[in-house]
Amino acid sequence: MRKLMIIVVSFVSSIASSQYNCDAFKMMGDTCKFEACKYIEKEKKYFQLRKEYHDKYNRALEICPDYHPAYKAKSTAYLKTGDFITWMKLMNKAVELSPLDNLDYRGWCRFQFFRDYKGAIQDIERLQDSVGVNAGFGQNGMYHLNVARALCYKMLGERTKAIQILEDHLQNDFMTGLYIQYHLGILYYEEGHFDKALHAFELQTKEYDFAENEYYKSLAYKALNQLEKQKEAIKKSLVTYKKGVFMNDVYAYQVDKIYLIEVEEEYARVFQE
Amino acid sequence: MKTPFPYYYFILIALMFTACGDPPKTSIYADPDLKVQVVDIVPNPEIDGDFQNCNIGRLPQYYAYNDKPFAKEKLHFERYIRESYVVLENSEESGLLRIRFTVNCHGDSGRFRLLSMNEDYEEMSFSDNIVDQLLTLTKAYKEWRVLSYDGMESDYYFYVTFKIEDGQIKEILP
Repeated sequence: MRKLMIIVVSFVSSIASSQYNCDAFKMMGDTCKFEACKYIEKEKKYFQLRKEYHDKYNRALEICPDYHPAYKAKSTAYLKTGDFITWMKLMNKAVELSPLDNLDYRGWCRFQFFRDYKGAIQDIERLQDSVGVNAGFGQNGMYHLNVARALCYKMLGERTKAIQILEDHLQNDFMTGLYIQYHLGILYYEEGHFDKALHAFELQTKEYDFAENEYYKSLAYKALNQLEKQKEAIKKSLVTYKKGVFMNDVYAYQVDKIYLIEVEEEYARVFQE
Repeated sequence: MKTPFPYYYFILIALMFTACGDPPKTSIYADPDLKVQVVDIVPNPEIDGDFQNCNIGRLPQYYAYNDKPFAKEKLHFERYIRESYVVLENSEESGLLRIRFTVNCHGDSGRFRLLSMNEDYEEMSFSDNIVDQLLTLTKAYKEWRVLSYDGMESDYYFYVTFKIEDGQIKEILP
């Protein structure tokens, strides 16, 4: 069920990023944004990087200079090509015009594309201050923003805080995203709590198993001196990797990503000993 | 004695004109007007030398493909950079340095362009030592994957971003 919800979130997220319900602006009495929105709706659709796409959104901004979805739409081309400066200028404008509509996207992208952990935390927590901890998902649909926030703290060296956020998150009835137990398990592992780490990795296996999770299982078994299980796990990691079941994102590599090279090296170490 | 002209030369010549001549066909990214992307790199022979892309006017982004540009995984590139990069002593330079380029249908890279920012997303310049090292290393790296649609090798844009703190490489993105 949870997997289904992730797919739904992913779908909704991709729709939301590209399209707004124009009538919502009308119902709020915002005729300026309504007209800009209708203009976008009726014009031909173009690929995000095409000049015509940007011309279309520039025209929408002429109709309504406060039409914040246009800034966000235009920013994407720069985000995906690594132009962080232009992207940020556009997203700053979008956030300035409507923080609650745009902080999720800006915060998530600062994490995913630029590993700007402090900036991502600022945006996500500013949003959470207004809407609560359950502030939604990152753009790729695989990460709850609160989980992304925890990973930002981890990458800044605040592992205890990261663990607390993830444990609290699991206590609530929030959706978790695809990898929460995996990341939590690694945090436990890094803190030397190997039994807790293994428990988390097992829970991850029940939700969604992938090569990296088995790799870390093997490290935890190694730390606990359970050599047969260590061998079994690293073998499974290698097989799973070669089946193509590993962490993947179209645009960027995730935090705690493990590469096939590392799995092969660990496999060789384990079976040489 | 005259060297015979092997039959496979004909095949090679034929491939030269066909392998990269047709655009990929199955995606929005195969749009024939893709040459008017807002973030296009304008070729400049003075800095690009004789580097050529295979498909004139059609340069999709790396994420249009199922495979990743790193033929030997990103970790291979990271290790290569970290093993070769010499950290400046007492450097206080921090920010992001992006190197964007194209990879052609033979897996060769070219048209390198730089962009750098400080921690406030403002444009800035790193010292020549840092820039020259990372640009030279990235240019010299040869393990870019030839990406294709439906078995047809294509060109693409890619970039690597170096996250630098006090002159040290903290992370390599994306």
